[in-house]
Amino acid sequence: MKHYYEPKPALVERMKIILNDENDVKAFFECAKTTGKRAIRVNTLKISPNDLIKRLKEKGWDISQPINNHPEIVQIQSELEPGELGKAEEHLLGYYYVQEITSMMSILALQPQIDDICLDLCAAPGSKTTQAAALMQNKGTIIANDLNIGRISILSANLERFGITNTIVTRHDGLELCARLKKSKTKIKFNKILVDAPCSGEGNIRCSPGTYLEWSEGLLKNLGRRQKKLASAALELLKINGEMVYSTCTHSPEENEEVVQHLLDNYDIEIKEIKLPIKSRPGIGEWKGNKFSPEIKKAVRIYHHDNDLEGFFLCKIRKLSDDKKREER
Amino acid sequence: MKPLTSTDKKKIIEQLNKQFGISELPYLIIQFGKEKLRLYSGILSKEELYFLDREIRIENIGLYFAKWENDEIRLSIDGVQLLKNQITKNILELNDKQANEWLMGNDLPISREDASQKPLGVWDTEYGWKILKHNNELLGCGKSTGERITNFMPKERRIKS
Repeated sequence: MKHYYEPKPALVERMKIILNDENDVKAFFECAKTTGKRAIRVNTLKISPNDLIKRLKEKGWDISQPINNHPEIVQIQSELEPGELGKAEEHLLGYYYVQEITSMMSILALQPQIDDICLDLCAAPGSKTTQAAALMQNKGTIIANDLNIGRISILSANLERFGITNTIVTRHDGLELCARLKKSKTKIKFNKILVDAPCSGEGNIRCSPGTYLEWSEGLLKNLGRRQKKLASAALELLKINGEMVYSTCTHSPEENEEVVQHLLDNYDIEIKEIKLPIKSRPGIGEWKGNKFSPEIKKAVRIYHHDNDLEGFFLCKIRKLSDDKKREER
Repeated sequence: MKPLTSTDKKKIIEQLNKQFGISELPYLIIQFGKEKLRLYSGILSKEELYFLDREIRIENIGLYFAKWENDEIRLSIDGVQLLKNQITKNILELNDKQANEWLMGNDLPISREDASQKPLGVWDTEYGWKILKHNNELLGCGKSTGERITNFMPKERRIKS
Protein backbone atom coordinates (compact mmCIF):
# COMPACT_ATOMS: atom_id res chain seq x y z
CA MET A 1 0.00 0.00 0.00
CA LYS A 2 1.22 3.48 -0.85
CA HIS A 3 2.63 5.55 2.00
CA TYR A 4 1.32 9.08 2.16
CA TYR A 5 2.73 12.04 4.08
CA GLU A 6 0.75 15.17 4.87
CA PRO A 7 1.98 18.26 3.01
CA LYS A 8 3.48 21.04 5.09
CA PRO A 9 1.04 23.92 5.73
CA ALA A 10 3.26 26.38 3.83
CA LEU A 11 3.07 24.20 0.73
CA VAL A 12 -0.71 24.03 0.98
CA GLU A 13 -0.89 27.82 1.26
CA ARG A 14 1.36 28.26 -1.76
CA MET A 15 -0.69 25.87 -3.89
CA LYS A 16 -3.83 27.82 -2.90
CA ILE A 17 -2.24 30.96 -4.35
CA ILE A 18 -0.92 29.22 -7.46
CA LEU A 19 -4.13 27.36 -8.31
CA ASN A 20 -6.43 30.14 -7.00
CA ASP A 21 -9.46 27.88 -6.76
CA GLU A 22 -10.58 25.97 -3.68
CA ASN A 23 -11.90 22.94 -5.59
CA ASP A 24 -8.78 22.82 -7.69
CA VAL A 25 -6.59 22.79 -4.58
CA LYS A 26 -8.70 20.03 -3.07
CA ALA A 27 -8.45 17.98 -6.29
CA PHE A 28 -4.68 18.56 -6.37
CA PHE A 29 -4.06 17.19 -2.88
CA GLU A 30 -6.58 14.35 -3.25
CA CYS A 31 -4.85 13.24 -6.44
CA ALA A 32 -1.49 13.38 -4.64
CA LYS A 33 -2.68 10.49 -2.45
CA THR A 34 -3.26 8.22 -5.45
CA THR A 35 -0.90 6.29 -7.68
CA GLY A 36 -0.82 6.87 -11.43
CA LYS A 37 -0.66 4.28 -14.18
CA ARG A 38 2.78 3.15 -15.34
CA ALA A 39 3.91 4.24 -18.76
CA ILE A 40 6.59 3.19 -21.22
CA ARG A 41 8.01 4.73 -24.37
CA VAL A 42 8.67 2.43 -27.32
CA ASN A 43 12.22 2.54 -28.66
CA THR A 44 11.44 3.22 -32.30
CA LEU A 45 15.14 2.74 -33.14
CA LYS A 46 14.66 -0.96 -32.46
CA ILE A 47 11.01 -1.89 -32.84
CA SER A 48 7.73 -0.45 -34.10
CA PRO A 49 5.01 0.43 -31.56
CA ASN A 50 2.67 -2.13 -33.17
CA ASP A 51 5.19 -4.97 -32.94
CA LEU A 52 6.05 -4.22 -29.32
CA ILE A 53 2.41 -3.85 -28.29
CA LYS A 54 1.61 -7.18 -29.91
CA ARG A 55 4.40 -8.83 -27.90
CA LEU A 56 3.36 -7.21 -24.63
CA LYS A 57 -0.28 -8.16 -25.15
CA GLU A 58 0.83 -11.75 -25.70
CA LYS A 59 2.28 -11.58 -22.17
CA GLY A 60 -1.21 -10.76 -20.94
CA TRP A 61 -0.55 -7.06 -20.32
CA ASP A 62 -3.45 -4.67 -20.82
CA ILE A 63 -2.01 -1.86 -22.95
CA SER A 64 -3.33 1.48 -24.20
CA GLN A 65 -1.91 4.27 -26.37
CA PRO A 66 -3.46 7.31 -24.68
CA ILE A 67 -1.87 10.13 -26.72
CA ASN A 68 -3.11 10.87 -30.24
CA ASN A 69 -0.40 10.84 -32.92
CA HIS A 70 2.13 9.40 -30.49
CA PRO A 71 1.86 5.62 -30.81
CA GLU A 72 5.22 5.27 -29.07
CA ILE A 73 3.67 6.44 -25.79
CA VAL A 74 2.10 3.46 -24.08
CA GLN A 75 0.28 3.15 -20.78
CA ILE A 76 0.07 -0.10 -18.85
CA GLN A 77 -3.47 -0.58 -17.60
CA SER A 78 -2.80 -3.92 -15.87
CA GLU A 79 -1.61 -4.20 -12.30
CA LEU A 80 1.84 -5.70 -12.78
CA GLU A 81 4.01 -7.33 -10.14
CA PRO A 82 6.63 -5.02 -8.59
CA GLY A 83 9.63 -4.91 -10.93
CA GLU A 84 7.82 -6.73 -13.74
CA LEU A 85 8.25 -3.85 -16.19
CA GLY A 86 11.98 -3.71 -15.56
CA LYS A 87 12.69 -7.42 -15.81
CA ALA A 88 10.78 -8.24 -18.98
CA GLU A 89 12.87 -9.56 -21.89
CA GLU A 90 11.67 -6.65 -24.03
CA HIS A 91 13.07 -4.21 -21.47
CA LEU A 92 16.39 -6.01 -21.34
CA LEU A 93 16.63 -5.84 -25.14
CA GLY A 94 15.99 -2.09 -25.08
CA TYR A 95 12.59 -2.14 -26.75
CA TYR A 96 11.10 0.30 -24.24
CA TYR A 97 11.95 2.81 -21.55
CA VAL A 98 9.87 3.07 -18.39
CA GLN A 99 9.07 6.78 -18.30
CA GLU A 100 6.30 8.93 -16.92
CA ILE A 101 4.25 10.54 -19.70
CA THR A 102 4.69 14.14 -18.54
CA SER A 103 8.45 13.68 -18.54
CA MET A 104 8.20 12.90 -22.28
CA MET A 105 6.81 16.38 -22.94
CA SER A 106 10.18 18.22 -22.76
CA ILE A 107 11.51 16.46 -25.86
CA LEU A 108 8.16 16.71 -27.66
CA ALA A 109 8.44 20.46 -27.10
CA LEU A 110 12.12 20.65 -28.08
CA GLN A 111 11.68 18.60 -31.28
CA PRO A 112 15.35 17.79 -31.97
CA GLN A 113 16.07 17.18 -35.67
CA ILE A 114 18.40 14.70 -37.33
CA ASP A 115 21.10 17.27 -38.13
CA ASP A 116 21.02 19.04 -34.76
CA ILE A 117 23.79 19.30 -32.22
CA CYS A 118 22.04 19.04 -28.87
CA LEU A 119 23.01 19.46 -25.25
CA ASP A 120 21.20 17.65 -22.45
CA LEU A 121 22.73 19.37 -19.47
CA CYS A 122 21.26 17.30 -16.63
CA ALA A 123 20.80 14.06 -18.51
CA ALA A 124 20.79 11.13 -16.06
CA PRO A 125 19.14 8.65 -15.95
CA GLY A 126 18.68 9.17 -19.69
CA SER A 127 14.96 9.05 -20.38
CA LYS A 128 14.98 12.32 -22.32
CA THR A 129 18.36 11.70 -23.98
CA THR A 130 17.15 8.38 -25.37
CA GLN A 131 13.90 10.00 -26.49
CA ALA A 132 15.84 12.75 -28.29
CA ALA A 133 18.23 10.24 -29.91
CA ALA A 134 15.29 8.21 -31.18
CA LEU A 135 13.68 11.30 -32.73
CA MET A 136 17.05 12.16 -34.30
CA GLN A 137 17.34 8.59 -35.67
CA ASN A 138 20.77 8.32 -34.07
CA LYS A 139 22.06 11.15 -36.26
CA GLY A 140 23.22 14.66 -35.35
CA THR A 141 24.94 14.62 -31.97
CA ILE A 142 23.87 14.86 -28.35
CA ILE A 143 26.17 15.77 -25.49
CA ALA A 144 24.59 14.23 -22.40
CA ASN A 145 26.01 15.49 -19.13
CA ASP A 146 25.51 14.76 -15.47
CA LEU A 147 27.60 15.15 -12.38
CA ASN A 148 27.30 12.11 -10.17
CA ILE A 149 29.33 9.01 -11.12
CA GLY A 150 26.53 6.66 -10.09
CA ARG A 151 24.01 8.55 -12.21
CA ILE A 152 26.45 8.58 -15.12
CA SER A 153 26.69 4.78 -14.93
CA ILE A 154 22.91 4.50 -15.11
CA LEU A 155 22.79 7.00 -17.98
CA SER A 156 25.45 5.08 -19.91
CA ALA A 157 23.73 1.74 -19.30
CA ASN A 158 20.42 3.13 -20.55
CA LEU A 159 22.04 4.58 -23.66
CA GLU A 160 23.64 1.20 -24.42
CA ARG A 161 20.41 -0.69 -23.82
CA PHE A 162 18.58 1.66 -26.16
CA GLY A 163 21.21 1.25 -28.90
CA ILE A 164 22.15 4.95 -28.92
CA THR A 165 25.13 5.70 -31.16
CA ASN A 166 25.02 9.50 -31.55
CA THR A 167 25.64 10.55 -27.95
CA ILE A 168 28.69 11.74 -26.04
CA VAL A 169 28.55 11.39 -22.25
CA THR A 170 30.39 13.83 -20.00
CA ARG A 171 30.61 14.12 -16.22
CA HIS A 172 30.78 17.65 -14.93
CA ASP A 173 28.90 20.09 -12.82
CA GLY A 174 26.56 21.73 -15.35
CA LEU A 175 28.04 25.19 -14.82
CA GLU A 176 31.57 23.90 -15.23
CA LEU A 177 30.71 22.08 -18.45
CA CYS A 178 29.17 25.22 -19.90
CA ALA A 179 32.23 27.28 -18.91
CA ARG A 180 34.56 24.74 -20.55
CA LEU A 181 32.49 24.55 -23.72
CA LYS A 182 32.39 28.32 -23.94
CA LYS A 183 36.19 28.35 -24.06
CA SER A 184 36.43 25.32 -26.35
CA LYS A 185 38.61 25.44 -29.46
CA THR A 186 35.84 23.66 -31.32
CA LYS A 187 33.63 26.73 -30.71
CA ILE A 188 30.78 24.30 -30.40
CA LYS A 189 27.31 25.82 -30.12
CA PHE A 190 24.03 23.98 -29.97
CA ASN A 191 20.86 24.03 -32.07
CA LYS A 192 18.86 22.58 -29.20
CA ILE A 193 19.43 22.50 -25.47
CA LEU A 194 17.48 20.80 -22.73
CA VAL A 195 17.90 22.05 -19.18
CA ASP A 196 15.79 19.62 -17.18
CA ALA A 197 16.94 21.13 -13.95
CA PRO A 198 17.31 19.39 -10.58
CA CYS A 199 14.32 20.65 -8.61
CA SER A 200 12.22 20.25 -5.48
CA GLY A 201 10.03 17.62 -7.19
CA GLU A 202 6.61 18.86 -6.10
CA GLY A 203 5.19 17.44 -9.31
CA ASN A 204 6.43 13.92 -8.54
CA ILE A 205 4.57 13.65 -5.28
CA ARG A 206 2.46 10.69 -6.45
CA CYS A 207 5.46 8.49 -7.16
CA SER A 208 7.78 10.01 -4.54
CA PRO A 209 5.65 10.79 -1.47
CA GLY A 210 8.80 11.47 0.57
CA THR A 211 9.14 14.78 -1.31
CA TYR A 212 6.76 16.31 1.24
CA LEU A 213 9.19 15.48 4.03
CA GLU A 214 12.16 17.19 2.39
CA TRP A 215 10.23 20.22 1.19
CA SER A 216 10.98 23.69 2.58
CA GLU A 217 10.73 27.24 1.26
CA GLY A 218 14.47 27.65 1.83
CA LEU A 219 15.11 24.69 -0.48
CA LEU A 220 13.04 26.33 -3.23
CA LYS A 221 15.03 29.56 -2.99
CA ASN A 222 18.37 27.74 -3.11
CA LEU A 223 17.28 25.65 -6.06
CA GLY A 224 15.93 28.72 -7.84
CA ARG A 225 19.29 30.48 -7.57
CA ARG A 226 21.08 27.44 -8.91
CA GLN A 227 18.59 26.97 -11.76
CA LYS A 228 19.00 30.59 -12.89
CA LYS A 229 22.75 30.06 -13.17
CA LEU A 230 22.38 26.76 -15.02
CA ALA A 231 19.79 28.06 -17.49
CA SER A 232 21.85 31.22 -18.13
CA ALA A 233 25.06 29.27 -18.71
CA ALA A 234 23.29 26.91 -21.10
CA LEU A 235 21.64 29.75 -22.99
CA GLU A 236 25.07 31.21 -23.78
CA LEU A 237 25.93 28.01 -25.66
CA LEU A 238 22.84 28.19 -27.84
CA LYS A 239 23.20 29.22 -31.49
CA ILE A 240 21.27 32.27 -32.66
CA ASN A 241 17.78 31.02 -33.51
CA GLY A 242 18.56 27.90 -31.52
CA GLU A 243 15.96 26.66 -29.05
CA MET A 244 16.19 25.66 -25.44
CA VAL A 245 13.63 23.94 -23.25
CA TYR A 246 13.82 24.67 -19.56
CA SER A 247 11.83 22.16 -17.54
CA THR A 248 11.32 21.00 -13.98
CA CYS A 249 9.03 18.53 -12.26
CA THR A 250 7.90 21.09 -9.72
CA HIS A 251 5.30 23.83 -9.32
CA SER A 252 7.15 26.45 -7.31
CA PRO A 253 7.40 29.77 -9.20
CA GLU A 254 10.88 30.34 -7.71
CA GLU A 255 12.10 27.38 -9.79
CA ASN A 256 9.98 28.09 -12.85
CA GLU A 257 8.61 31.48 -13.87
CA GLU A 258 11.24 33.36 -11.87
CA VAL A 259 13.98 31.50 -13.74
CA VAL A 260 12.42 32.30 -17.11
CA GLN A 261 11.96 35.94 -16.07
CA HIS A 262 15.64 36.05 -15.16
CA LEU A 263 16.50 34.87 -18.68
CA LEU A 264 14.15 37.42 -20.25
CA ASP A 265 15.76 40.17 -18.17
CA ASN A 266 19.28 39.28 -19.19
CA TYR A 267 19.24 37.82 -22.68
CA ASP A 268 17.84 38.62 -26.10
CA ILE A 269 15.31 35.78 -26.31
CA GLU A 270 11.67 35.09 -26.99
CA ILE A 271 9.35 32.55 -25.42
CA LYS A 272 7.78 30.17 -27.91
CA GLU A 273 4.26 28.76 -27.79
CA ILE A 274 4.18 25.05 -26.97
CA LYS A 275 1.43 22.71 -28.09
CA LEU A 276 1.35 19.57 -26.03
CA PRO A 277 -0.88 16.52 -26.46
CA ILE A 278 -1.96 16.62 -22.81
CA LYS A 279 -3.84 19.20 -20.75
CA SER A 280 -1.69 22.07 -19.58
CA ARG A 281 -2.13 25.57 -18.16
CA PRO A 282 -0.21 28.78 -18.83
CA GLY A 283 2.61 30.07 -16.65
CA ILE A 284 1.41 32.27 -13.80
CA GLY A 285 1.43 36.06 -14.12
CA GLU A 286 2.86 37.07 -10.74
CA TRP A 287 4.28 35.71 -7.53
CA LYS A 288 4.62 37.39 -4.16
CA GLY A 289 3.99 40.83 -5.63
CA ASN A 290 6.40 40.42 -8.56
CA LYS A 291 4.68 40.68 -11.91
CA PHE A 292 6.16 38.54 -14.66
CA SER A 293 6.45 39.41 -18.34
CA PRO A 294 3.27 38.54 -20.27
CA GLU A 295 5.55 36.32 -22.43
CA ILE A 296 5.71 33.88 -19.53
CA LYS A 297 2.08 32.93 -20.11
CA LYS A 298 3.49 30.88 -23.02
CA ALA A 299 5.27 28.63 -20.53
CA VAL A 300 3.35 25.51 -19.58
CA ARG A 301 2.24 24.11 -16.24
CA ILE A 302 1.05 20.52 -16.03
CA TYR A 303 -0.81 19.42 -12.90
CA HIS A 304 -1.21 15.78 -11.95
CA HIS A 305 -4.98 16.03 -11.37
CA ASP A 306 -5.58 17.44 -14.87
CA ASN A 307 -4.29 14.35 -16.65
CA ASP A 308 -3.99 11.67 -13.97
CA LEU A 309 -0.22 11.89 -14.56
CA GLU A 310 2.62 13.69 -12.77
CA GLY A 311 3.20 17.45 -12.51
CA PHE A 312 5.64 19.41 -14.67
CA PHE A 313 6.70 22.84 -15.90
CA LEU A 314 8.27 23.68 -19.20
CA CYS A 315 9.18 26.69 -21.23
CA LYS A 316 10.59 26.86 -24.76
CA ILE A 317 13.00 29.69 -25.47
CA ARG A 318 14.43 30.92 -28.77
CA LYS A 319 17.65 32.89 -28.79
CA LEU A 320 17.38 36.02 -30.96
CA SER A 321 20.96 37.26 -30.68
CA ASP A 322 24.10 36.87 -28.59
CA ASP A 323 23.46 40.27 -27.02
CA LYS A 324 22.94 40.55 -23.31
CA LYS A 325 20.57 43.08 -21.85
CA ARG A 326 20.21 44.63 -18.46
CA GLU A 327 16.69 45.94 -18.31
CA GLU A 328 14.81 46.92 -15.20
CA ARG A 329 11.46 45.30 -14.96
CA MET B 1 39.80 7.51 -26.59
CA LYS B 2 41.20 6.81 -30.04
CA PRO B 3 39.22 7.16 -33.27
CA LEU B 4 40.43 4.37 -35.54
CA THR B 5 41.91 4.82 -38.99
CA SER B 6 40.33 3.30 -42.07
CA THR B 7 43.04 0.60 -42.02
CA ASP B 8 42.15 -0.36 -38.44
CA LYS B 9 38.45 -0.28 -39.33
CA LYS B 10 39.03 -2.56 -42.32
CA LYS B 11 40.79 -5.06 -40.07
CA ILE B 12 37.81 -5.08 -37.68
CA ILE B 13 35.30 -5.54 -40.48
CA GLU B 14 37.33 -8.41 -41.91
CA GLN B 15 37.36 -10.13 -38.54
CA LEU B 16 33.63 -9.50 -38.00
CA ASN B 17 32.98 -10.89 -41.46
CA LYS B 18 34.99 -13.99 -40.73
CA GLN B 19 33.26 -14.60 -37.39
CA PHE B 20 29.69 -13.46 -38.04
CA GLY B 21 29.27 -12.48 -41.69
CA ILE B 22 29.13 -8.75 -40.92
CA SER B 23 30.29 -6.76 -43.93
CA GLU B 24 29.85 -3.09 -43.12
CA LEU B 25 30.02 -0.65 -40.22
CA PRO B 26 28.75 2.76 -41.34
CA TYR B 27 30.09 4.45 -38.20
CA LEU B 28 33.22 5.92 -36.75
CA ILE B 29 34.92 3.28 -34.61
CA ILE B 30 36.51 4.55 -31.42
CA GLN B 31 38.78 2.46 -29.27
CA PHE B 32 38.70 2.89 -25.51
CA GLY B 33 41.67 1.40 -23.70
CA LYS B 34 43.35 -1.56 -25.38
CA GLU B 35 40.30 -3.61 -26.23
CA LYS B 36 36.95 -1.86 -26.10
CA LEU B 37 35.41 -0.71 -29.36
CA ARG B 38 32.61 1.81 -29.64
CA LEU B 39 30.53 3.00 -32.61
CA TYR B 40 29.68 6.67 -33.09
CA SER B 41 27.15 7.76 -35.71
CA GLY B 42 27.13 11.49 -34.91
CA ILE B 43 28.17 14.43 -37.04
CA LEU B 44 31.24 15.66 -35.17
CA SER B 45 34.57 15.12 -36.92
CA LYS B 46 37.52 13.19 -35.48
CA GLU B 47 39.27 16.52 -34.89
CA GLU B 48 36.30 17.99 -33.01
CA LEU B 49 36.07 14.86 -30.90
CA TYR B 50 39.78 15.07 -30.13
CA PHE B 51 39.47 18.65 -28.87
CA LEU B 52 36.28 17.92 -26.97
CA ASP B 53 37.96 15.03 -25.20
CA ARG B 54 40.86 17.27 -24.21
CA GLU B 55 38.60 20.08 -23.06
CA ILE B 56 35.61 18.38 -21.45
CA ARG B 57 36.87 14.81 -21.06
CA ILE B 58 34.53 12.42 -22.80
CA GLU B 59 33.39 9.65 -20.45
CA ASN B 60 31.69 7.62 -23.16
CA ILE B 61 30.85 8.03 -26.79
CA GLY B 62 28.38 6.11 -28.93
CA LEU B 63 27.73 2.46 -28.31
CA TYR B 64 30.08 -0.14 -26.82
CA PHE B 65 29.66 -2.84 -29.44
CA ALA B 66 32.66 -5.11 -29.27
CA LYS B 67 35.89 -6.08 -27.59
CA TRP B 68 39.12 -7.52 -28.94
CA GLU B 69 39.91 -10.84 -27.26
CA ASN B 70 43.08 -12.60 -28.43
CA ASP B 71 42.76 -11.37 -32.01
CA GLU B 72 39.10 -12.30 -32.11
CA ILE B 73 36.08 -10.10 -31.53
CA ARG B 74 33.43 -10.53 -28.87
CA LEU B 75 30.24 -8.59 -29.63
CA SER B 76 28.34 -6.99 -26.78
CA ILE B 77 24.61 -7.69 -26.49
CA ASP B 78 23.95 -4.19 -27.83
CA GLY B 79 26.42 -4.70 -30.67
CA VAL B 80 24.56 -7.89 -31.59
CA GLN B 81 21.26 -5.98 -31.51
CA LEU B 82 22.62 -3.14 -33.62
CA LEU B 83 24.14 -5.39 -36.27
CA LYS B 84 21.54 -8.18 -36.17
CA ASN B 85 20.46 -7.74 -39.79
CA GLN B 86 23.99 -8.50 -40.96
CA ILE B 87 24.75 -11.48 -38.73
CA THR B 88 24.66 -14.70 -40.75
CA LYS B 89 27.35 -16.96 -39.27
CA ASN B 90 27.82 -18.87 -36.03
CA ILE B 91 24.24 -18.53 -34.90
CA LEU B 92 22.96 -21.03 -32.36
CA GLU B 93 19.25 -21.53 -31.81
CA LEU B 94 18.17 -21.91 -28.21
CA ASN B 95 15.08 -23.56 -26.83
CA ASP B 96 12.87 -21.74 -24.28
CA LYS B 97 14.67 -23.19 -21.27
CA GLN B 98 18.12 -22.34 -22.62
CA ALA B 99 17.05 -18.83 -23.58
CA ASN B 100 15.76 -18.23 -20.07
CA GLU B 101 19.01 -19.49 -18.55
CA TRP B 102 21.00 -17.30 -20.94
CA LEU B 103 19.00 -14.17 -20.08
CA MET B 104 19.63 -14.85 -16.40
CA GLY B 105 23.35 -14.71 -17.14
CA ASN B 106 24.08 -18.43 -16.81
CA ASP B 107 26.47 -20.41 -18.98
CA LEU B 108 24.83 -23.02 -21.18
CA PRO B 109 26.17 -26.54 -20.79
CA ILE B 110 26.58 -28.48 -24.00
CA SER B 111 25.18 -31.97 -23.67
CA ARG B 112 23.48 -34.64 -25.70
CA GLU B 113 20.39 -34.15 -23.54
CA ASP B 114 20.06 -30.67 -25.05
CA ALA B 115 20.40 -32.08 -28.52
CA SER B 116 17.12 -33.93 -28.19
CA GLN B 117 15.27 -30.81 -27.07
CA LYS B 118 16.17 -28.28 -29.70
CA PRO B 119 16.29 -27.86 -33.43
CA LEU B 120 20.02 -27.32 -33.95
CA GLY B 121 22.83 -28.44 -31.76
CA VAL B 122 24.42 -26.19 -29.21
CA TRP B 123 25.82 -29.58 -28.27
CA ASP B 124 27.79 -30.16 -31.45
CA THR B 125 29.34 -26.74 -31.82
CA GLU B 126 33.04 -26.14 -32.25
CA TYR B 127 35.14 -23.69 -30.25
CA GLY B 128 34.64 -19.98 -30.80
CA TRP B 129 32.27 -17.08 -30.66
CA LYS B 130 28.59 -17.75 -31.14
CA ILE B 131 25.47 -15.63 -31.48
CA LEU B 132 22.58 -16.92 -29.40
CA LYS B 133 19.17 -16.83 -31.05
CA HIS B 134 15.71 -17.53 -29.70
CA ASN B 135 12.43 -17.01 -31.59
CA ASN B 136 13.99 -14.64 -34.14
CA GLU B 137 15.58 -12.63 -31.35
CA LEU B 138 19.36 -12.38 -31.01
CA LEU B 139 20.22 -12.54 -27.31
CA GLY B 140 23.91 -11.80 -27.33
CA CYS B 141 27.28 -13.36 -27.95
CA GLY B 142 28.94 -16.20 -26.06
CA LYS B 143 32.03 -18.33 -26.40
CA SER B 144 31.85 -22.05 -26.89
CA THR B 145 34.52 -24.04 -25.09
CA GLY B 146 33.24 -27.27 -26.57
CA GLU B 147 31.63 -28.13 -23.25
CA ARG B 148 29.65 -25.00 -22.52
CA ILE B 149 28.77 -21.57 -23.90
CA THR B 150 30.26 -18.89 -21.65
CA ASN B 151 27.86 -16.06 -20.90
CA PHE B 152 29.11 -12.45 -20.88
CA MET B 153 25.80 -10.77 -20.13
CA PRO B 154 26.52 -7.75 -17.88
CA LYS B 155 25.00 -8.12 -14.41
CA GLU B 156 22.72 -5.14 -14.76
CA ARG B 157 21.20 -6.60 -17.92
CA ARG B 158 20.40 -10.03 -16.56
CA ILE B 159 16.82 -11.04 -15.89
CA LYS B 160 16.40 -11.80 -12.22
CA SER B 161 14.87 -15.16 -11.45
